[in-house]
Amino acid sequence: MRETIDKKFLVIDDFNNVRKSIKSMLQTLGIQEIDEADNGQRATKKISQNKYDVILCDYNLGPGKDGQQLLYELRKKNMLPFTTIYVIITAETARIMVMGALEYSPDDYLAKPFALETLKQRLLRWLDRLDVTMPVLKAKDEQNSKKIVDEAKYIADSEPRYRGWAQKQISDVLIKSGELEQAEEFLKTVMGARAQAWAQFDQARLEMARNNLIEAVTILEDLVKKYPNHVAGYDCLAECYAKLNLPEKQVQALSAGIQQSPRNFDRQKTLADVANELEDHFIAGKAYKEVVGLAENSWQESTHHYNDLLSSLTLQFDETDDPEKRKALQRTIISYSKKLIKRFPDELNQVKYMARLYHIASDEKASPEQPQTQQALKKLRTDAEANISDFNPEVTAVAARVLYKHHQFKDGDELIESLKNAQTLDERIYEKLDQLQNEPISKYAREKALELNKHGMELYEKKNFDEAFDQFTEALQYSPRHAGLVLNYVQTGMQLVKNSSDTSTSKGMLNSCQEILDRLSYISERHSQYKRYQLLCGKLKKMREKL
Amino acid sequence: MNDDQLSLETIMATMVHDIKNSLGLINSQLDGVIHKLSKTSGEEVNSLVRVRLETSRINNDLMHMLGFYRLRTELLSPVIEDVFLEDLFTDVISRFDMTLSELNIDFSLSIAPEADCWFLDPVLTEGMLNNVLTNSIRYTHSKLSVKVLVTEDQWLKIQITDDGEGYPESMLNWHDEVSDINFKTGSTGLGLYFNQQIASMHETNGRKGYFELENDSDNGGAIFTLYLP
Repeated sequence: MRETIDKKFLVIDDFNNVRKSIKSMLQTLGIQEIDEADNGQRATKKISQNKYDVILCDYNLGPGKDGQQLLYELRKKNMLPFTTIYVIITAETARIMVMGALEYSPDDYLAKPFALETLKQRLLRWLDRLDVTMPVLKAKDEQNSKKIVDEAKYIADSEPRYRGWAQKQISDVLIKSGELEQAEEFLKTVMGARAQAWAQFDQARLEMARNNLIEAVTILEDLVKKYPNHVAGYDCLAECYAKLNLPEKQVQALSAGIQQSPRNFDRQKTLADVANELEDHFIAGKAYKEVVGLAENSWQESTHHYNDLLSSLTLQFDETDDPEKRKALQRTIISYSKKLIKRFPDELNQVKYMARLYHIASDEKASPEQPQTQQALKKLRTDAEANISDFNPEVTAVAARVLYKHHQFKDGDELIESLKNAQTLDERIYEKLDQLQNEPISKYAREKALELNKHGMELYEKKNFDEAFDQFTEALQYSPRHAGLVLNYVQTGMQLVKNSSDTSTSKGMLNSCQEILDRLSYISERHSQYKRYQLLCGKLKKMREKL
Repeated sequence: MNDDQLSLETIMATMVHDIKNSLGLINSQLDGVIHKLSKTSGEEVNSLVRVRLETSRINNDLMHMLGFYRLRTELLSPVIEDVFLEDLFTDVISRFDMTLSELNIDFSLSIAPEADCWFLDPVLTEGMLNNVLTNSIRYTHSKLSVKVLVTEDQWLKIQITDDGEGYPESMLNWHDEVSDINFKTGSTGLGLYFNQQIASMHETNGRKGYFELENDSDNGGAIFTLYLP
């Protein structure tokens, strides 16, 4: 094969001698235009400036992005035209393993090292494929749905080698362009010839497009049962559950997908966020760790992911009583804080603040009684104020949470108010802040407080005010400013004063009631307990005046 | 949460995977050495090619171990596609090109025109064919042929014939049973058992894939015939 082939190639590998050897093989085979890149960044630049017919990329590109991350980024940013063939070169010999690791499907794999003969065979196959499928690929780049269908139908009928490929193109474009009746007919024919995973998957996509979510779930559940490694199946399943508002099921589906293919940024991020919403900090923390790892060296790397992770780890820290686990979590928090400072030298002000914040948040010795802690908390507050418009609002929210944790309610409230005034926040963060102000505690503490509160209310009903008061007092240790709970405490305290004749203990009791009631000064008219709060404020005032 | 507790199977599978990767490196180094030596000396090359065949067998065993792991954890399920058979066979045979020519084995492949495409799992089928071919090359004298065709009652028939000593009696009586696997006869039968699992995973309209072992009535060589629905 000495004739020249008029195609443009890009070879990406971090080793100069490997690039040279592949290049010389390609030259032997008649390719003349061959560019090289030694890392992901330079490859991206080359790809944005040139149109390549074939890209050969090594999976391992040394420090920085790997071949999979590069492909993911190119696909995500729509930088790779369909008319380019992308081949991943890997030392991994088992295709089955490679397929598990690589999801943003390249057009082909090449096991390393390969002989000239192998490369020649593959090259002929790529060129043939480009040649035969070009009309469809061009139509895809032009986003001309009708043309894609017509050209792919022609290929499906005339080229058995590409029949499967062409059928997938037809189904895909029919669903994407909303020709759902046609897609249904087509898939029925395909499945009639032989049940195939991709066709069943497309049947589910079709039902999703029709918003028949239950139907789609049924198909997908069956699909992943038959093909447990159908990763995209789990993703769609998770999407359906999200739309059906079943977050627990969504977490299950995402976790199953992750078990098959953990190296996927979007999947890990979604899992982390949903688990975080559900306050399952164990799952969330684990997934955020992956998110931080997968984003490293890519354009997605951000202090936000670190903040999500550190926040999740601190919540785990607060929830667990096991001293060994607490120590381990503390170590993890410290090591990620150090890494954070190292990786974001351009955002030193914020990342140093974050390191300080999470150090206090996971400090065993910190307590509101300690002057040192008080000082540190004051500084947290003032520094957050000083940078209120620059810092990531989620960081400031965690600062408020830490202030609340150490009973600095006024400081926490004021910080949140400053944040709301300083930045236009999106609705989700607004809600989060409201929730934080209302109950700045973990799920565990909330459940504990709820249980004690319920028991206290039963005792109150039975007019056993002494014991009821004890229950509410203990509940407040867990949830210091839950409106209903605070009001129960105050109401019971006032009841005890009514039944008592000892003036000095009554005075003390009413003072403490006032102090606790003041915790609710943040609630506004739209709060469900607002009326009751107003009522008790008035009553307490009268009682204190009388005494 | 039992999350931090790994099962013994998972640990073994991870280690096997690691060993397999090392073996992959050894194999490619060996290939390089064989390639260089093949231009000069004959005898050393021949023994190296034999070594290379044994490492292929180790690789097959490791693949089987991983395969069994996936079977047990229900991770192994066929992904049936409409596969162009010429591509499949070219991929399989390209692995053996060098070995075949070094050992002077006369190899032939014929694919009948009606067998252009077939519904099968290309990855699993490739693994199965690799396994069978490795053994055939090890035991054949000078010839190896692969014939692919579609039978009258619509089975894809893949027949691999060599001119070696043929299958021993114990293997000819092999009947897809776990009890047929034993360590005393030297050939453990594990490979056959695994291949049987893979073949029978190809299933449609109540018909399951299977294979037959027989010896050539003319020259006594082994014949492996795989049928896929």
